[in-house]
Amino acid sequence: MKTRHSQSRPAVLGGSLLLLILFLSGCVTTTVEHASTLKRLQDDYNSATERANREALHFAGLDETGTLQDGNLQGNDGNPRVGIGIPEVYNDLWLDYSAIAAEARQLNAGSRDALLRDQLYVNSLVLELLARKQKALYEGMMLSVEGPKNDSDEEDQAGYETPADIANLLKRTKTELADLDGAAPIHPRNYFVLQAMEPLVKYDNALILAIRAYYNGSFAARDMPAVKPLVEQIAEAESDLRGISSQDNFKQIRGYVFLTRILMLNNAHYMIKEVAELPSDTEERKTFIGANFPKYKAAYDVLAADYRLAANQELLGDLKDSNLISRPY
Amino acid sequence: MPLATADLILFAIRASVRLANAGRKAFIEGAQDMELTLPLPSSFFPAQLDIPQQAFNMMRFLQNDTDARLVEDYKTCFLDNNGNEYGGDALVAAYLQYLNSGRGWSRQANKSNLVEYEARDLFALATVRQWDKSPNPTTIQRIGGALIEVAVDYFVTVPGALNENSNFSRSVKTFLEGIQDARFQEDRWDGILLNVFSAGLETLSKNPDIYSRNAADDALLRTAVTGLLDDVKGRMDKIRSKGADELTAQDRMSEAGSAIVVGLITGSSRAVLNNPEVLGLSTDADHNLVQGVGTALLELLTGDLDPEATVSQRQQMKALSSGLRRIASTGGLEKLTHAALKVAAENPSLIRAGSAEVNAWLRSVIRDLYALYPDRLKLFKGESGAIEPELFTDIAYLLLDNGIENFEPLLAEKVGAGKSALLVQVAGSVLDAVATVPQPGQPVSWRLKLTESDVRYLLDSNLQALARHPEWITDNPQKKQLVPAATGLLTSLLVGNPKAAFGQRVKILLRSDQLADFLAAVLSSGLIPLDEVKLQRYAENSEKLSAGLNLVMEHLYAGGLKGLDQLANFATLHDLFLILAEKELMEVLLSGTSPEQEQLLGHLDKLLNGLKRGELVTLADLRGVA
Repeated sequence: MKTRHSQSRPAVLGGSLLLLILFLSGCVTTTVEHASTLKRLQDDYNSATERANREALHFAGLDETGTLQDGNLQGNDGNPRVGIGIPEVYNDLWLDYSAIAAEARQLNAGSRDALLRDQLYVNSLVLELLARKQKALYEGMMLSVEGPKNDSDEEDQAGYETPADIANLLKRTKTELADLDGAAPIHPRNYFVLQAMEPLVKYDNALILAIRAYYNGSFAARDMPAVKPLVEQIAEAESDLRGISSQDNFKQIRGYVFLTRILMLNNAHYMIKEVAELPSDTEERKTFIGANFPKYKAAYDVLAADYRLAANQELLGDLKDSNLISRPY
Repeated sequence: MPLATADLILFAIRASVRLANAGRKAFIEGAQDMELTLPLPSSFFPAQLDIPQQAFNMMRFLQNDTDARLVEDYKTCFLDNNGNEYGGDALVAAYLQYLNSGRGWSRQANKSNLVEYEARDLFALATVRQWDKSPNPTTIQRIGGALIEVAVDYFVTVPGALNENSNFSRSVKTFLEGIQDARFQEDRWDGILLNVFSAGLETLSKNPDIYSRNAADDALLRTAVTGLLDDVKGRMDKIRSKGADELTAQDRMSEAGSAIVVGLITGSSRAVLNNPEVLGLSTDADHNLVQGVGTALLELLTGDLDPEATVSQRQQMKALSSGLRRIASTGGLEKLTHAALKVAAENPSLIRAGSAEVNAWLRSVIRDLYALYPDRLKLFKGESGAIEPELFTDIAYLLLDNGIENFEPLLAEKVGAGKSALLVQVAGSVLDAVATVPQPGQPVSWRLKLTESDVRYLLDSNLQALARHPEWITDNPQKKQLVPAATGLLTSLLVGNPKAAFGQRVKILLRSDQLADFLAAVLSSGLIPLDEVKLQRYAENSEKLSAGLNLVMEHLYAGGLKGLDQLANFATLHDLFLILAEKELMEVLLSGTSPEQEQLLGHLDKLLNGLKRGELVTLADLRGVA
């Protein structure tokens, strides 16, 4: 009897376990579907954004091999990147972001309770916001380059969003989160993105309008009154972002903010260069640049101070850790 | 048997649910933690531009020295208010440092091509984690923790999984039951470690027979561990209840370590207190005595703070507790306890009066003594830089032991601005007198090359000398305050005289068991006045006084120890000093080569020679000298 029992016990245990594991696996798979979808969307979004960022940095002076070049941008083939198909780049990214935005929107509407329960709702809302922001950016840029769609594309245009739409969406999202009153805890990075979204959208809006102004001939015509407000918008966006960076954000966020602010100022300057492509002694150019000096000087001062602070602290920290120095220089 | 099968099935269900939940949580937390790539600002690059020529270089934007247009456009941005150039190069340099610092990026800096680094390093800045440090456990911990929990659950809940008849199995089961509540999936390593430690203690307290085969040892071990467990449990719970945000793992383990040390001291001491037969005490009265004093000492050691204490006092008490704990752990506890018990045994009325008084008394003396520590840091400091427990406990023991016979006046008395125990102040002044300030990093050195044993004997003798004259302390409140200064002055006279011959004589005195008599004789004679103004004057002219003492001692020691022996208990010497003080003859002795001095020395010499020969010398004879 004892032997029989000893033999049957493992069998019973094994059988029970197998059945239960199968059953529970099914349950678990079902209950994490929302998280699984979110993870996949985040992966897709990261992949698209890495491409977008690579483009942004490329035109800021980094070639794709990763080496900082001195005004000599090259493609993967080693040849200068001249006349690349910009709209194609826009279009590819736009397609990706559109798909991600649509699915994220659907996820947030359909799985809200599950996301809330697992503290993933804010992640998902942030993802949707970011994807729709990027989608709106590339829509705006393409429309600026290609001109407005004709009437036959009216149906397509119905789904288009502008940076202004994203700004409204951001407001609604913040209101919703406030109404949830702590039921959806906002983790540090999500909090940062919700704060930074406004200046990022402001910049996008200025950029879209600047490209449109370029194709409308404002730059060629040196139409200062048309370009100047756009440059100022970018300066404002940079300034707003600076305000957020002063909050208690962790190291990686500070690095992102530094880089973003440099690129914003870089592009503002580039626009100035384009519109002010004039002999250096013209009164017009002097007037335009001169009016912006105080604003840029202020931005520069703060940025320079931030860099020095961050660089010195980190560098000195490293040196101290290595016992190379005992005190700041 | 069917029950066992049912248990197995239930276990299997629980295990499956637990594992499935762990897997689910790990997945959800993975989604929460997932990195997100944030978008960088897109650039303004109209399509038909000739990009290589027109694209604006970010580094040049910052660098400002290679692009003439840029320099001109942004010239004012790099000028300070006085029109001096600033910031441009510094900004670039700072930015590059920032990019390069601590990230392992390649860098080659020179003037023509300022830096080379990989674009992915810049991309990395845009990929941001949810938290700087995620509060979620890692997937490995989540799943591994669940597996451990399943294993614990199996052995604890499934009948027959462990052999109930085996001592070892029983102890394993106790241990597993103890760690059943540990959250292996979520807790940080320190939390898990503390749980395992507590479970280990619990196992030990319930199964002492695993480690010993002797019933008496069992009882003692069980009591000691139970005491430790009771003591530690509350503290551990408090430490565990602090969130991860409040304490780092290192801080938590440090606090836990401190709690365990305290627990070890108090736990083991309680075991002794609760087992009077170990101490050889059989009656209830003796037992009560031991418990009364022991409890007071334990409270002191564990830093039972006065809630009214100010912050600085609290810090002081914290330091005191910390120092005492170390002392206790080095065997000093035994010595202190012995002194305290001796006091208690000889003063049972104190114990009957309630342990509060004993507590206050013990605390007062030891705290006051410890308060000497900051000022006399080097005296108590070992070569390692930490407090020297041996010297500290020896001095504490001397104070307690000497206070026994004159408990109230000597131990309980508090004098001076700092209001610390009189005996403690005496100890401080004696230590100051015998120590020379050591070189940094060196251990303390004692005057006249005294050994530590000499120092202890010197202090002991001073205390004994005081104990013989409690009238100083009871008679006049103003005089009390001067007693420490007087003993300090006398000690410095003895050990501070640089003459080699004098030093030799002092050493003979130190090792003759008659130092206390000598000190008592000098102190009670009034040669060292308990008068603030005179004391100050004497201190300022200590050299003269020292020479006077030397003169007397020179005669006493002229024939070696023989003369000293003849003076027996120094009653005569007391009288001699008394007369010298009364008649201000010491002044005459030190006045130079006047006829009075020669005459006085002649009389004195004659008298001392008589003493050496064993002749009886009366006070009248001494007065005759004068």
